[in-house]
Amino acid sequence: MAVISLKHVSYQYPLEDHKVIRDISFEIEKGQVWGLIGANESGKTSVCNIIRGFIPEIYRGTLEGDVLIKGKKIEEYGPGERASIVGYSFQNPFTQISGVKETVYEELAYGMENTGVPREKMKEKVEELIRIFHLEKLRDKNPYELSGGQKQRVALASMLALDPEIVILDEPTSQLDPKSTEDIFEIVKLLKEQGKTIILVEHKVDLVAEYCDHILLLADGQVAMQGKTEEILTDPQVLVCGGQLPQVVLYFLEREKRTGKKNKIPLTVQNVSFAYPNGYTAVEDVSMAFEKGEAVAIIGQNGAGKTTTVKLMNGLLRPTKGEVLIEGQSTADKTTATIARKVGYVFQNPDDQIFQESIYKEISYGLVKQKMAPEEVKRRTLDEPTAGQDRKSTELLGAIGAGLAKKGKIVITITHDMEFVVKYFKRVIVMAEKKKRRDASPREIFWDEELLRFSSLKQPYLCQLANLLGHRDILTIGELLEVTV
Amino acid sequence: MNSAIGKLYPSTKFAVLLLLVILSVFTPGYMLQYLMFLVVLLFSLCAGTARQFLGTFFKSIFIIIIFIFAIQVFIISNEDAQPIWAFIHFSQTGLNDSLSMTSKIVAISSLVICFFQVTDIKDITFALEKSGTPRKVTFLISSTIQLIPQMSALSKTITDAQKSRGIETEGSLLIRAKAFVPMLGPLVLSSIQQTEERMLALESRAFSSKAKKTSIYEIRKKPADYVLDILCVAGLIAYIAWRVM
Repeated sequence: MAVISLKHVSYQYPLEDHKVIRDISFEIEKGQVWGLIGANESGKTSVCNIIRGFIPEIYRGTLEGDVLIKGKKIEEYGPGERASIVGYSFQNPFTQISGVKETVYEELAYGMENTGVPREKMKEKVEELIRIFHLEKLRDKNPYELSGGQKQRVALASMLALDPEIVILDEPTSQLDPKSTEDIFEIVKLLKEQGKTIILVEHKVDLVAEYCDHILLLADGQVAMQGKTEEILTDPQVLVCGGQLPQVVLYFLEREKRTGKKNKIPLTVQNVSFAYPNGYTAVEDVSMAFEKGEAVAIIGQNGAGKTTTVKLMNGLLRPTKGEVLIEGQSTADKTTATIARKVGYVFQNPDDQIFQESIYKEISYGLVKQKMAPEEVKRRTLDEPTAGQDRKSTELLGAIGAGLAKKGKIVITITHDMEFVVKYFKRVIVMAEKKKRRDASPREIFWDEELLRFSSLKQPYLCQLANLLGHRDILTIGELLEVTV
Repeated sequence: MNSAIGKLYPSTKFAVLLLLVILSVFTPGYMLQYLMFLVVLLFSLCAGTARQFLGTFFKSIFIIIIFIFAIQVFIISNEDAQPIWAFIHFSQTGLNDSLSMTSKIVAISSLVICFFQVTDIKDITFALEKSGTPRKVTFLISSTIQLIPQMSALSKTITDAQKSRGIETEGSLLIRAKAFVPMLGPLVLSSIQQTEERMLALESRAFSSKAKKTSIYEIRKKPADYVLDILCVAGLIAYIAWRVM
């Protein structure tokens, strides 16, 4: 049974001469995360207000059609009951504070006080919320004295204190900075893992693409498009209907327009996690995409999940969650040998993969087995190739990798050699504690000291020297000479 | 609020306040009433709020007292008025009237100021709810008190916005008075707009729930509270009996 069901719903505000919602129908199943998108005034907030029951109870007006929450009409729920089933949070952090509590601790308990939860149970719940939402340092502060991002976290936590099954978030990050936005989406992810049904209204469609399973696009008060995220947010029709598409999709659409070639992202790792049979999680919710002709370095301390991630790409390991796509097709039902035709893998230890008597036989072995010509091998993965290599060999490896990338291959390299990274790669992915932490240029990565500290990584020696000399954002000897000589 | 007086139950402190106010209003003369100011000052000293009390009293009530004295003694024309200069004269009747009027103002205002300085609003709200006061009433009290500093901050933000638009807000009293008017509109409008969103936020916290309310915060009456309550009732009965006899 759908937890939320709207059937032929239309609504007109009092004093308005037209309907803001016209004949909307959709159903949301338990545990789904729906992104509600559309231009301003398309009816998104009105739909949220209908689901929550604010329309018509508070806003009055004329509501037609059926609105069912967990199979029951919304008006059949008592006012306090609705708050325990459908939680609601909106964009202004300031007005979401109750205004009657002097501390965050008491603010979190306010909803539970109103519903008559016993004191001891309230205390337990508040402590749990403080822990989950990282509010330890704020517990005794006045909610009004918090920053916007902190207020929004407290407001979300306060709403979730009533443990609603359905959560509506109406542009929760519109007034927040990027760090606070990230914190809020971490909470969205947590709610998703808890199996809550979530409706997220957001203009930041890149984040919607990352966190939502389904999309409902509204235009002029009507449903313009609805369906799975990967179907809707790759369809240019979204733009015609007044919606937005993620940056990555816009890029490929534009490229398709200019080159006339249909694009499929050659290699995508989508929200993959991997846990060993003994329960140890090696990689958690990692996503990355690679384009033809890219040379990418993956760096991170030992145990960060780098090797596991690349093994997931070539099928040596299979994700326990998420999927790997090659040219838009999932690798779930393909054998490792089949994947090897598209994704080559070079091990860290040469002895692990050399077993023929001669170099010629060694090189031709795999190709012969797969009845493949060399040019069919589209990608090679080099796992820590410069370990144990002298300078000449390192340069040779770097040149080989660069050459392959020039030919349109994707070259992904795991390495601890930061100088190698600076010299041969324009894109670096940092992994730490089983997750992808940042994906950016070498300059941005190696001058992000906080990231490096967190990931137990060190800057290349030249950057360290530049730092000592009082200069920042330096990557090469030439650049350092320019500012010091 | 950590003093012995601060830790008393709010209704106990209110009972004491009520008794002393009744004494001040119904006792003739002015000596007891002015004495009440000293009693309240003593309470404040014991509660550690003396400085706050004196600061509030002298910034507000004292000015009113001086004003009443000045008008009654030197301006209002009574039968026994002795001229000093032009329209200024001295009147003994005026002095007696002002002493009587101001003494009650001093007593009552001192008691009320002290009460709110030694009693946390959180405690007052809890005690009111426990006594059966509807939550909407206690909400009104708590939210108004919390909102005052927020409104003050909002008005400053609006003033800054107006300054950025070229409205002059610095200078003579007339200039500042003129700047007050364009500030009012946005302040009122944004308050109304925020009220709608705050109402939705409260609904999300089950404000309209019909369930019996609980509280994560708790205070309890101690033996000292009960003793004081009994003494207040006894004191009131004794005072009524004395006045009647």
